[in-house]
Amino acid sequence: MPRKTIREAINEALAQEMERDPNVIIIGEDVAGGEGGSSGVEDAFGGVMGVTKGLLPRFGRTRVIDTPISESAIMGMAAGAAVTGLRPVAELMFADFFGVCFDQIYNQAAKFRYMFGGRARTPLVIRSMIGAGYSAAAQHSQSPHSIFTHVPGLKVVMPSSAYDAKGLLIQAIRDDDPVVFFEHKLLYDLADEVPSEPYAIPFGEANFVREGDDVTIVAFARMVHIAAEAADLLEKEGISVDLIDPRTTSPLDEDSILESVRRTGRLVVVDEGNPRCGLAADIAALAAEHAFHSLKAPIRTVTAPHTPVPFAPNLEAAYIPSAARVAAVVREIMR
Amino acid sequence: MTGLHLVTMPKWGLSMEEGTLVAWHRQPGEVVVAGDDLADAETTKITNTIEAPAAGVMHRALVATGTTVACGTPLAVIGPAAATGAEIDRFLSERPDSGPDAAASVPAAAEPAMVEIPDGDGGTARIRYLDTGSGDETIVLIHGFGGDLENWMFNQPAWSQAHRVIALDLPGHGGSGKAVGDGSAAWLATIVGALLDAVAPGPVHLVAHSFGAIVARHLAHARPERIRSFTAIAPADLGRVSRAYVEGFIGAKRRSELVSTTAMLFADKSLASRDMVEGLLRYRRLDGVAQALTAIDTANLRADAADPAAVAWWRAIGSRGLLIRGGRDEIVAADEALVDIAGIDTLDIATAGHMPQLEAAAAVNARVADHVARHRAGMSGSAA
Amino acid sequence: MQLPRSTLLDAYLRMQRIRNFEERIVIEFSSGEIPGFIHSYLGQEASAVGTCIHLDDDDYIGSTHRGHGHCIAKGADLKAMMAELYGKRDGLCRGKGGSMHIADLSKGMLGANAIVGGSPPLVLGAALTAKTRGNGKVAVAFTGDGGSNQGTVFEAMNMAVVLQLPAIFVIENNGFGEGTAASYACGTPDLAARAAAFGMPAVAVDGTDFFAVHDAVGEAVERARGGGGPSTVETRCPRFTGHFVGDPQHYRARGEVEALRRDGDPLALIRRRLIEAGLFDVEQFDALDRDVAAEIDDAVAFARAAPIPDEADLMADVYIAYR
Repeated sequence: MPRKTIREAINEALAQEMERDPNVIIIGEDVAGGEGGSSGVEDAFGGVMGVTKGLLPRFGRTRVIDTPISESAIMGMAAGAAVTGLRPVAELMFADFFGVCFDQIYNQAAKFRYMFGGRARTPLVIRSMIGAGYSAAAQHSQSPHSIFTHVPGLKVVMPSSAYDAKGLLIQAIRDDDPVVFFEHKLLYDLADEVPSEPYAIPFGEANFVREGDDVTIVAFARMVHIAAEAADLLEKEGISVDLIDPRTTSPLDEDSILESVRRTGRLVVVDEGNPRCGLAADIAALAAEHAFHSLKAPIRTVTAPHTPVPFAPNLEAAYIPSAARVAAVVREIMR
Repeated sequence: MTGLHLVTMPKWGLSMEEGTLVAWHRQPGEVVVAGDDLADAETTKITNTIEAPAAGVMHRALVATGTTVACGTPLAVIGPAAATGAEIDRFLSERPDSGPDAAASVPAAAEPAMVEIPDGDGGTARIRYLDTGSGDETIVLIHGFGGDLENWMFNQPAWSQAHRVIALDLPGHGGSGKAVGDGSAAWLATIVGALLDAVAPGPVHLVAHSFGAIVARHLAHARPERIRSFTAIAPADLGRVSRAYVEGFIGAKRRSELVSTTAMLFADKSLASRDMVEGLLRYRRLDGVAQALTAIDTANLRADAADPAAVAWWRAIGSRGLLIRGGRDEIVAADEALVDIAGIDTLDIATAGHMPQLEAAAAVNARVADHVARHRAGMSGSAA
Repeated sequence: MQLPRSTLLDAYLRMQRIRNFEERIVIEFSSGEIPGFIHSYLGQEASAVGTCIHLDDDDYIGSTHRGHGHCIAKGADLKAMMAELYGKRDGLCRGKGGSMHIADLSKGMLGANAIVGGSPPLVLGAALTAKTRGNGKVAVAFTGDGGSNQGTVFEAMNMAVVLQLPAIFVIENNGFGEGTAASYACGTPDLAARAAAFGMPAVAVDGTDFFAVHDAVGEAVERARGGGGPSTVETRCPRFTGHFVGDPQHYRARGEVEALRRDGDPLALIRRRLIEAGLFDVEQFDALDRDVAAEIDDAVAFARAAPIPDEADLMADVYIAYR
């Protein structure tokens, strides 16, 4: 089976869905790029990370739409197009930019169906980049997925592999509800086996990354790989980790998490987001409410600190949860 | 010193890259005969037994229990009792695949090929198949409902040692295209026939499992000149097929739903591993699979009892037919009326479930090899 | 006045329905039967009707928190509207939206919007759908003088020009954003000129004059349907009421509202013009008004009798399918 990077997998998912359904369109800043430039070169960017490269020549300007830098107008236009029959995939280049357009996402698109008594259908996908690690500092490095997860009416996806990225994005595009699809900017070159055929992975179904008996680790997106690295370290010490990647934060595969926690009696949640009212705290609360009597040790979380993302590489490295930190926390609760 | 045999970590299935030696059944110095269980090896998907390839003394165990090694890595040396330590050292040192870089020097495993077959409706069907081994006889392997060519991972390597073996993915399955026409076994048989015309002209030995046996029967019936022998493992048309299984398999979207369904396939429930279920889930998620499986189910798997046409077929085929069944099959409930179809050569494996080719690979491998040998070119005419 | 009599009758009826609906709401709200809060469209009827008279069910509008008039002008059912305001299960939004989110997607009415400046970006999307399908449909974004100060409106106007979308921005300048006058809050009194600066045709008209609105929006709709891109029409239509029903309007001079009702009533204006033109007489209008009053009575009776939502409806329709 062919190996593809997450970048290639996302591109393939977009192309296959655009091929299948003429209602699927792409909207965003520099999703093609080059429009109006002096060189006449089209598709100059194909997205700032090259994810949408090649879609413009294939599907044309009516379906791959470069916009001004106007995030509210982009998100609103996508929401309005969705509720009137298209299936837009809108790009919010960096998730940090939600601050200039959140109204259109959480007050408008997310609430249409409920506010209108079930009479609206909003098949909208918002693709956006999260994650620290590029020294892109405080306004281009955040992982604000918890804020989106908080909003009823949104579904939130955080793929950790190329296989998942393709299947989850196809599901997102076919889904009739608004979906926010977060891509971790450090994972684009990660490759694994991806079928060439289209396939959809249902939301709310965790991936069981590895089996273990001593401690459950729940992690998302890039943190799945950090947690796996920690699990490798711990395995050499005789500690076996049950590593669960829920894939989507909303809906959340609560059953799989609780089933694992009841079996291992220990839970560590690893999240790149900030700790207060965050995803890690949310999952810790879930286990405390529903699996308390199975716990052999305190639930622990490993997250970014309650700070903005710093610029200096050494500070940024200290900000991002590391395998060593995860392993240390596990050792503490194994004592 | 001749007569020394090297036992290596096998490659079971397309994705296996390494295996863990979980137990030695024999110790150095013990006498073995061909087919004796030597060791158990485990992949993330499945656990199976490695057999002695020849009779002799097991001279060396080269890998400790619990060790994970690449496919092709030497595990043991078997040979005449008289072989000396020096001779064995020399034998190992002369083998290109026995040094520290053993895995790298193992010949690349066969990769499946794709071929476009006219589908009879003006289009084409894309078929994936795995072509291994060589010899005068060709064995064609047809998997069952929801299966794929990897269902033969324990069998194809064994039979490939003496024969050409072609395992295919039926339309709607594995890496083949997902269009299945009207879903009937007859339509699928036409495609399989066209595939064989394209890649394997001349008579073949059909070995088919479960629903695949219905396809094989239609093929053999339509193209009798192409068939030398006919082996059916747990054929789906000689009894009632479990609705719980079929509907569970088609309907399962989530992992938890598929785990119990998959376990129905085996007497040993532990064989339904996480990786096996994950592989089935990945197949089930592909576009077109749900429709393909539904069409096949509707057209073929709804009967309450054995298909009279199948019974008649078995009566007619005579000694050319071999019927293999697992005594703990939960998928196909054998029809009481069929307990003895006169003259049928039967291998009943009491301890196996619906997939004896996985659960009792050694017994199935030996019996089918014997069946093929008895019906090889020149031994008899074509099937009924 | 070249419009057919049937169109004029339709326009008058729509305006009178809005007038009656809103006046009745004030009464019913004060009696405590209608929950929440209400923003009245009284005095602005000509703006909604002069615009929507050009649209059919497949054209779209996006509205504001002051949205009843747009909803009625776009053809929504009065009974279902009233039931929605009462928070009843038979309401347009099954009692889950209320006054500020009233919507009728089957009529191309994409919802009242409680966020000032919320609709224009959404309307871009409806216009994009129309452009993508090439079906000649248009989308109208209503916003107000208050909304015109929101960045979302600027973004939407620029985007509509850049993508040449079939969108029309109708800025209803009613003189106040909540309790602050437009003369204070808008850096220029000429809101149409702001729109023109984005590179589209923009005019300001008397928003109490149905005919002025009709002509200006008609030109914009025709341009949009023909692929000529977006336009803006500023309709100046001072509101008769406060920001919300019950607002004592301490910010308005004594007599200002009374003068508006006396001299700037859009209903009185269209009535007078149609009588002067000899198309209708007073008796005919009185008969029409009685019919409209009866429609509103029926709507109120329907809304009162309608069942409240089931408690299970709380959890319904957050998603089409969650998991």
